[in-house]
Amino acid sequence: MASSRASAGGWGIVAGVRALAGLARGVGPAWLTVLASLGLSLIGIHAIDVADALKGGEGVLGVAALKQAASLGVGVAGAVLIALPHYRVLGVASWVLLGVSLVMMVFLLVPGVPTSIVRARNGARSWIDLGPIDLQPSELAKIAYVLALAWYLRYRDNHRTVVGLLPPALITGLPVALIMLQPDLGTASLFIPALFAVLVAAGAKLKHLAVIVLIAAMAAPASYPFLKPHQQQRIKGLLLQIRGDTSADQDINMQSVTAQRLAGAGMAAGLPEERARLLLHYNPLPERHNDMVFAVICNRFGWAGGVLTLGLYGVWIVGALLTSATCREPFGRLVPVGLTGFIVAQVFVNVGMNLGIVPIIGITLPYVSLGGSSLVTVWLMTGLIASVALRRPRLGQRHSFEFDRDD
Amino acid sequence: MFQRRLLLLATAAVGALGVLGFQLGHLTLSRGAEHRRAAEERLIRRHWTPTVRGSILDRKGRVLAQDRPSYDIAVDYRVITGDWAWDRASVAARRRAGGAWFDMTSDQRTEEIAALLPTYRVHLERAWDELARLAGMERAALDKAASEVRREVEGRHAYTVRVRKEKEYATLAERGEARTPEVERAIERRAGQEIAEQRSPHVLVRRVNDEVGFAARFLADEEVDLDLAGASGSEGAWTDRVPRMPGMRVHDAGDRDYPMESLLVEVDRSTLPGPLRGEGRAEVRVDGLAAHVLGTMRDRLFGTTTDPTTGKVTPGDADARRLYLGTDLAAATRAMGADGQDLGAYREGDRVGATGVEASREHALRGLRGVQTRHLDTDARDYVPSVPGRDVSLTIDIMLQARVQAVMTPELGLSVIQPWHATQRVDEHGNLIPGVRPDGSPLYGAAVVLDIDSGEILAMVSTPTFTRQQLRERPETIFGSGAEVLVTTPWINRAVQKAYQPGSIVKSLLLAEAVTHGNYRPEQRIECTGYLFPERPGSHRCWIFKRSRTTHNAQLGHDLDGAEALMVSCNIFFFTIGRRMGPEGIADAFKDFGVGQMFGLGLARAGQEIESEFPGRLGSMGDDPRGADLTIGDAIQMGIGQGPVLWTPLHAANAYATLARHGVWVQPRLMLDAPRVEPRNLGLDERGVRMAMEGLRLSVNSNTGTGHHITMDGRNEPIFNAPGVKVWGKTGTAAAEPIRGDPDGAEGPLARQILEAGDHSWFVVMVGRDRPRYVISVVSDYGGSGGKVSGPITNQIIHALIHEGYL
Repeated sequence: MASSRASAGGWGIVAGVRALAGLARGVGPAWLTVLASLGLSLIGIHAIDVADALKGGEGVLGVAALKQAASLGVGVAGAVLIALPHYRVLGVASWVLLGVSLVMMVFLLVPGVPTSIVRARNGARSWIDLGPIDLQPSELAKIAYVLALAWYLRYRDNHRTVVGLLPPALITGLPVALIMLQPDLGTASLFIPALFAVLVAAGAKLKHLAVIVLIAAMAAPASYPFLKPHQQQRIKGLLLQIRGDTSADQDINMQSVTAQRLAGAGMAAGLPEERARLLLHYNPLPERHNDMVFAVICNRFGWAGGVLTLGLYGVWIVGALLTSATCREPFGRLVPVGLTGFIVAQVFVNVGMNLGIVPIIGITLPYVSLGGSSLVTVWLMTGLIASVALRRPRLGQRHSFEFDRDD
Repeated sequence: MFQRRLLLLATAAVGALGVLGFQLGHLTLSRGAEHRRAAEERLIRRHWTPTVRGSILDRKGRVLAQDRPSYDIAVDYRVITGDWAWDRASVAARRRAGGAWFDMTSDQRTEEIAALLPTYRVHLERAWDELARLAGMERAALDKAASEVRREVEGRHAYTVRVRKEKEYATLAERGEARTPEVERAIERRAGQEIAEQRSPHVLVRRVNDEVGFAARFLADEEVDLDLAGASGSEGAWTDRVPRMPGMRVHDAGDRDYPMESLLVEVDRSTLPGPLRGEGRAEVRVDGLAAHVLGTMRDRLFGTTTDPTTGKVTPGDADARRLYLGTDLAAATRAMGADGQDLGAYREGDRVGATGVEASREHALRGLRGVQTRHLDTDARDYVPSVPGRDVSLTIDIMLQARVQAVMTPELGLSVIQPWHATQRVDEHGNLIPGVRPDGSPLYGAAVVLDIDSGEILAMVSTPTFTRQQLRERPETIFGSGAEVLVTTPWINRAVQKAYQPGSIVKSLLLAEAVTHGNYRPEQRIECTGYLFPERPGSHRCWIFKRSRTTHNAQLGHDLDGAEALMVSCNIFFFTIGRRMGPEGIADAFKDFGVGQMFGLGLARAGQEIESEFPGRLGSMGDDPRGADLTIGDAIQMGIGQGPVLWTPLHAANAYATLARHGVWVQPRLMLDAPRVEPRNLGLDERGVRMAMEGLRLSVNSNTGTGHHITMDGRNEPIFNAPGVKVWGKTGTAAAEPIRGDPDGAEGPLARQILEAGDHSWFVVMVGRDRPRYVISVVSDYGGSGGKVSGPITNQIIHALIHEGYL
């Protein structure tokens, strides 16, 4: 019995390795995305542990890092689960998914919901408290939105006209409006790059998009008075920093300046862990576990660590776009592009605000920042990309979005 | 196409990552070390301990300026307004009510608070009484100080509210938004928010001494229990622990103390001239002693400024200190703390030397702070104790200075226009000279006492001087532009800053120079003809001719040699000498004796000495101070110390000391540690020096000498009466520009007119029991005749030197 169990175990391992090898062949470039996701998550767990500074110290990991590790497990499991069915099943369900997340977001805004379920955090009603799990509907909305948008565009070509751009804009507008009402301007703003990425890939006319970007850029300053005072302050603060004015370093620019100081202090190769913890303790950086975690990485691992992290995002993006490129089926082509749009925008804004070139906006760094909802969401994205890669394209499938004129 | 679009997206994504990578490199690689330092700096906690500024001492070690610990007592604004009582009562009421508080109506709450309020108010009243008692003030005075603070802060708040509202409404109008009552309420609320002054403590009692300061500090930490049970009618014990002196804080306000600023000096009446003479001693109070030399402090730090027109950069305090540390390695090393920071660096609230020695020796006087450093990572602690600033010793003898100033105080009667001065009120045509004041008016001037052997300045007095209290409370009486201040100019140190024509006192110097350069042979005699040019009796006249239509030849019965010419101060003789020396020769002679030269005494901060010492001037009042534009006519006038030449009383004293040293120039010094400049020999002909000294001896010792006696009530009275003291000296009467100004200030109805006119009165002497030891140089502004006005002052200074043991 014992030997048969052992041999069964041995077989199990061999089968597993074979399965993995097969998977690798089947998944192709999506491996890059999966490995990058894993690497980033591990960097994140370490950085979150270091960010505990002198408060942790018991056991191998601090409480926050342990929680993150647990979330990683959930995230990976979620990725596997979402990759199990054919991704077109999700496409079929995409409208329902988007509808569910919209309903949840409306629920967030309903007055009179007990504070034990929905309570404003940092002034935004973004979370549904479900006992052990906190759910952030806007995170799920991101995925549902990409699926729905890709599902909508998959056989179309009318988005090559101005009028045809309106339905995608409408699909984007609903979640964006609801998220802005929470208010969570940061998350809401991520939908726009995702939409553009999908439209570009789907062959929308670049000149239409360029004109829209131009109008938006010109209209942007007009939106300034509508910003909240603290948002205006952060923009003013960034302008002061660019001018080299240090007068606001102790107040409105404190977070940004501290982040830059800590990131810069890492120099080329970073600091020993104990030293990094010490510096983090005595250079208190608000939100260092989540929004400002990139500064912690740079402090701990220096320029090398920062470049490695940015490089892993590069690998993730290459993996996702190659997956899209090797897929022939239109829905599968667009999904990774939309997800890439979210990730790139989120990385740029988050790292940019850590390094002092973007005003401080509450946005997490994907895979790295502390936060269950956020981590599970991005791992679901990883799973989706793997899922697209897993389903080999059927021969004879027409190449989609190949329009004659590339304009 | 799809692949191309993907490539486009990939490029955009990589580009975005590239931007981030670039900024990352900038932060970690280019500026990494800087950020590392800044981050590590947070691991160090520093606690600064105060230091003490060095003292300024006189040559005998008497303290002239020192730091004195002192304290300011401040009180929180909400205590000043009394709101503190309400605040505390609310907290107490709320704590008492517990959860029930939330179920109370607003009226109920107010009632609860109001019940407790009197207890807190009584406590406040008692604390104010105690503070007044502690500070040694009347309660009313304290209340007045508090209400002044309150009025000022309320005024400032009202102003801020107004500005805020204007701004908000302007923005509102700009955006074109409607001005609804709701919006208005919001704006009113925002604009009405407290300003910083309403949350901070305010100083009510200034500059209290150690004893009061310490007592206040202890009281500030004490707490008492207020009994609330009785007030609220509740049962059982209920107390609130409150500070004994709510909101009181004690700040260090170290003060600069000038212990010898005011002194009482006794003057022996028996040595005074004629009508002033009497039995016993006159007690004279002198104020603002040596204020010009010691200088002043300021509370505000200066930043570096650039003159927009000249582009001249004046370094601020921090930069000046950096420059100083850059040139003095030893000082820089001393000042360096463990972490390489300057322990003497200026910080907000530091006091800085503004003028005089306080400014010029700022770097020596300034102490180094102590610093307690704690490294949070290793918990290493170190302590660098504070280092007091160094003391600076002046060459001044403050008691001699006090006696000299006493002599020049109008109350004594010497520095007052007296009948025997015979002050000229009409010119030679019989016209009234405008601006000449009546008898009894005070005279202002300067006196310098110089040690001939060492070049050390023993006394340097300029009257009127000023006191620090006057500077604090009535600065307009020092710097103002009123007619009074235009005449008195208390701010100007007349001994070194004011330009005077030298007059006849230069005759001895020119005699020695003329012999040296062969312009005059000692055996030669020159006739006094009354006026220089036979064809022009109206100009270049001898003073004796001008006064009594006679000549020195007629007086003495023969032509004059150099010594006799000095004795009688013959103008014709020295016009001739001036003519013979010519413009270049006479300019060189004046330059030899220091005209055009600053002494670098150290009366202003580095780089600003030019304002603290007048270097003297030769030639036209143009840009060239060196006299290249002199004519032969100028040379003739300059032979008697008139014409285009200006210098100061210190120049005169130093020139006479040089003559007394037989032509050896020694740099005058005001500080004992000032670097010694190698003495310089002018190479004067010994025969010339001897003749000049003989002339100076005759001038004050011979009956016919101009500096020998004063005629009072028909009697001749010798000017000098100190027994056993030899005097060599020379009088001088120098033409002076009248002072013009508006008698009632620029705003008044009266036009500009002459406020004061006449000649400046000079007397310079060398004194000693065996040989010349000290030079005394005295000038009385618009005093008139040198002998009659400055002579008796000089005589009293000789008595002062005797009194202080110098003679």
